[in-house]
Amino acid sequence: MAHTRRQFLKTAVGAAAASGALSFPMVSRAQQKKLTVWWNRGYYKEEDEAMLKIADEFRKGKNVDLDISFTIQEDLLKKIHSAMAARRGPDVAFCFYNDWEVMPKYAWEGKLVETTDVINELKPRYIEKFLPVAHVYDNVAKKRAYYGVPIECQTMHIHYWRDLVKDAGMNDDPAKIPMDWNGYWDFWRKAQEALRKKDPTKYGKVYGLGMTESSSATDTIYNFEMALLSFGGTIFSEDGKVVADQGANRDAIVKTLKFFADMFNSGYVPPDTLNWSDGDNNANFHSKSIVMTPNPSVSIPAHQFFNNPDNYFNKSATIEWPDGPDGKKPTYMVAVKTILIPKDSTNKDVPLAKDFIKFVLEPNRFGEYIKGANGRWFPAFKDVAADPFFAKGQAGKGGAVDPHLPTVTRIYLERTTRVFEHYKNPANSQIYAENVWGKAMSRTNVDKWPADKAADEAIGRIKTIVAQWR
Amino acid sequence: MNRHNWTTTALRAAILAIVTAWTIFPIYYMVTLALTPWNDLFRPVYVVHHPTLDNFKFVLLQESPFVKYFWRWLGNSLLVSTAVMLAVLAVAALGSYALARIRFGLGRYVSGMTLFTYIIPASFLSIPFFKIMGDYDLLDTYWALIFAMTTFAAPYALWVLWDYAKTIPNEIDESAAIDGAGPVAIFFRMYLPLITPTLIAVGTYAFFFAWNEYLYAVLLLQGEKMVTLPVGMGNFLTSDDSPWNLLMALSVIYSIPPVIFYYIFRRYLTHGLVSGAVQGT
Amino acid sequence: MANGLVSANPRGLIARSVTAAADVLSPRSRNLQGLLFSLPLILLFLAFVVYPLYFVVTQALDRYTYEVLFSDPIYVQTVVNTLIYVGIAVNLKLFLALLLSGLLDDDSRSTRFLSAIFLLPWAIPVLPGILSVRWMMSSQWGILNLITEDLGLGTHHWLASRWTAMTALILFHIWKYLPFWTVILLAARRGIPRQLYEAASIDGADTLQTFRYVSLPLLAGIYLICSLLSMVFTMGDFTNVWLMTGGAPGDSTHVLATLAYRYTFKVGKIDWGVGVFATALPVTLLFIFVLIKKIR
Repeated sequence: MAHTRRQFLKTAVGAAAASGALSFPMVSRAQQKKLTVWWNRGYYKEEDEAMLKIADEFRKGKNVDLDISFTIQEDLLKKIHSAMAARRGPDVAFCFYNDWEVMPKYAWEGKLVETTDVINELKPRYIEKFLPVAHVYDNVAKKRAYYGVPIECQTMHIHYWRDLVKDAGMNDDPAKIPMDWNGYWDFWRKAQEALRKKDPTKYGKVYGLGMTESSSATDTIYNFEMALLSFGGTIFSEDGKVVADQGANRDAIVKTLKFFADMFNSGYVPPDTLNWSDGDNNANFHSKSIVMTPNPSVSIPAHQFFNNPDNYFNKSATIEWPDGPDGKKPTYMVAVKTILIPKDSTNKDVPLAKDFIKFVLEPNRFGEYIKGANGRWFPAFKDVAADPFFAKGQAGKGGAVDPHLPTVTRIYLERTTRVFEHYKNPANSQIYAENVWGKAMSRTNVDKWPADKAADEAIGRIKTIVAQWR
Repeated sequence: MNRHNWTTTALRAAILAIVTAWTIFPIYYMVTLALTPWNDLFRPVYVVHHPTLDNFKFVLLQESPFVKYFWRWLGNSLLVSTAVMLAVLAVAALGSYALARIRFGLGRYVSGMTLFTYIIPASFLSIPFFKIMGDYDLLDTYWALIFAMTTFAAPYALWVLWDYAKTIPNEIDESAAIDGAGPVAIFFRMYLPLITPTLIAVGTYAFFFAWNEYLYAVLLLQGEKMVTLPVGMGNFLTSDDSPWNLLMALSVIYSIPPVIFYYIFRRYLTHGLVSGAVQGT
Repeated sequence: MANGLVSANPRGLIARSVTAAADVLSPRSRNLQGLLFSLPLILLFLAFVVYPLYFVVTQALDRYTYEVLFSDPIYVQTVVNTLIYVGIAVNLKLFLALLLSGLLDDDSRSTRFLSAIFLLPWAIPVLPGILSVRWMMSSQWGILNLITEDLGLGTHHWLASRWTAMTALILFHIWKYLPFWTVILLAARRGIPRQLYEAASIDGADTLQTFRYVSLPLLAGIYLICSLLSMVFTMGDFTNVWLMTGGAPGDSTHVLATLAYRYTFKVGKIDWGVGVFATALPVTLLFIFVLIKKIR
């Protein structure tokens, strides 16, 4: 304790000298900004490591006390829900479930920070068709604006075993598979029949179509939405009203449900599919119980790439969803993962939070992060998407060509896409949580209801949910 | 009872054989799976063809992303269970002393309160509990979990201790009181030593009550390094590709401590509930 | 057990007429002392039982809760499921416990050996048991289908449909908790004086009559208490159902506790989660008060 002025001066000079000598000045420690970030644990070590590196660079470069924690999505969702309820959240939250279950709901409740400025700044870089996911309605401010920052995507694609198709005596070249609606689905039925006839002991229980129709899987929702698009229907209007009950839409829904019911009853889909969880079509594909399966993430080839590259490069391939009954190329449902900024955050430093997000999304950094995911995600930015990794995929031994990622990239870049309808109406998160369509399929497949009855029940439930949403 | 000896015995034996088979089967299956190598996992068999201890190795060496934090989870479970055990012992010892030795008028309400807590399903309070802990920023801390577990385990512990304490004659307290000992002294120097054997049993009960807890752990703990073993195991169910053989190996490891202790202490634990109720009839 | 302990007491049994001296303290200071020692318990009770209960009650008083819940077909299904689960699982289990306790009510070596094994389901923590059974019932890799196939009964998708899944739940519940209640009833049986059985035997009663006129009346009280207790506990079951089916297929196998969890975390409406318990509160409180009366 300095008692005399001289002593005080001595102490002050000493402190200044000391702080100058150290690389962590006492003075700036007091002013150092803090930021709390909750990030979704990736599927791959490389993803997390890349993110840690980015965090470190931010910490040092901007002199910020950054606290970043990684959590798996189910736990992170719980954390976010409780943080929002307790009004004590992180400054930045990135959870894989943000786009479906967090952003629309909490933006509606006025609990998220508007990010329109960030979006506008990054807009030249964005693949704009992915942006609507964050354009949600704030029921407190009574306006629709951007309340999140989209960063990466997943979509639907179909995987199949080339060797099984070859064994069935059919042409396994991806380019040669018929893409017209009827020809496509017929192809897999023929494959099943040929295989079973050829070798009953080995292929006696193989199924041609691994189509998930379970009310316990989100895969079902993807499948339904894709088919609904093929039949030309939609559930919500642009401003969030339910239009599923209107003429053309209702017809499309009925046709879609009938399509799935017929497929299930045809004997070319494993009866088990009614109870598949999200991982079951994967497991069935890996054990070669099914010839093909639609899957809304790159998890199947990724598993192969790490466990059995021969399967990845030579024995399986990825192709597109078929052209619709109307002959047009399909529209793809894309789920866009989004970062958000809660209003009730610990540090309440919105500019810093936005800075961090922009820092993460700088092309080289973000490119490294997303490539660490081994193709599981596709970037929402043109410059990062232009990286040859996405066009060419993984490099194989002896110059083997990647039969998966290039198809996926083509879907994102060249096809018409649609983001999920949660941005139109946040009640969609409950509709999905209840798996209304999976239940409708149970009605048609198990209870043997006619498709229009099941459709009407589902539409009724949707309207009730929307009406009760507050 | 001496007639029909042969048929009764045979029938009895048959029933008991069925019951034994039924009892053992899921456990046998768990151990079987724990010894199954990854490649054989998808082909059900009655007896393991190529038993391997690899699964245990993977778990103990944390060689799979699913068991990356096995030792931390184990440590967390041990920490929470020990803390709960100590807390329950304290609360139940004090409370049972009050009810058994002090015999005060308001004791009716205390015992009623205890009984209420014992009977009400813990899950009914779980979501509000979660909300409260969220409001007080106690989520993802062990305090919340320890408080919850202690609250729900203490009643039974207290009941058992109280029941046991009733068998200690009052003259002992009285002679101590006459010798000038106050209640606190009697509690520490006389009561605790006398109920020690039951304390051990009750402490074990509390330890494994917390060891087995799933719902509150899942609700209140969120960080992947913070969770306890059962929550870590539950996470296997959320993924596409989980290695069930590893999960079963983990299950076996997780089951060993409780099995050992329950066998040692089973006599003590059922005593309290039964005698309390039987006396009522 | 306790008697041995007393005689080991160094102070010995001093039968003094000091009861008057013992009542030195006034009831008021006894109450104070008693409350002081009970303080930790009371605090825990207030903070962690009363406080959460307050939220449940508040939710119960909000009419909107009932509007939303009763109009949700999943909620209705859940109530039905809970009633079935509680009604069948508990009563079947206790009935079997009654029978089994009768079978085990002797001191033979085989009984002791069997009792040891029989306790395993109770000793094993909940998770390993359920997970083992869940995999067992997997329609593709589970051993149950292997068994049924070998027996000529074909394969089935056990956890696939609502009713087979509910049956699996009930059976698992019985597997896990039957040992505990059997031991309880066995201990109760052991409390029945042997002379009664001898007298009945002399009178020429067979097993059934002995059971009906000797065992049953003496066990009725505790059997009732056990039933009520088990019913309340089972009403609040979360872990068994959550890990066995998670509510699947399609949210059709939920029980109250798992539905509340789903509303809170999947649908994101914590109020509805609390509301589920609020709707169950009246029945639960009724059970609790009946039980408290009976046990005391």
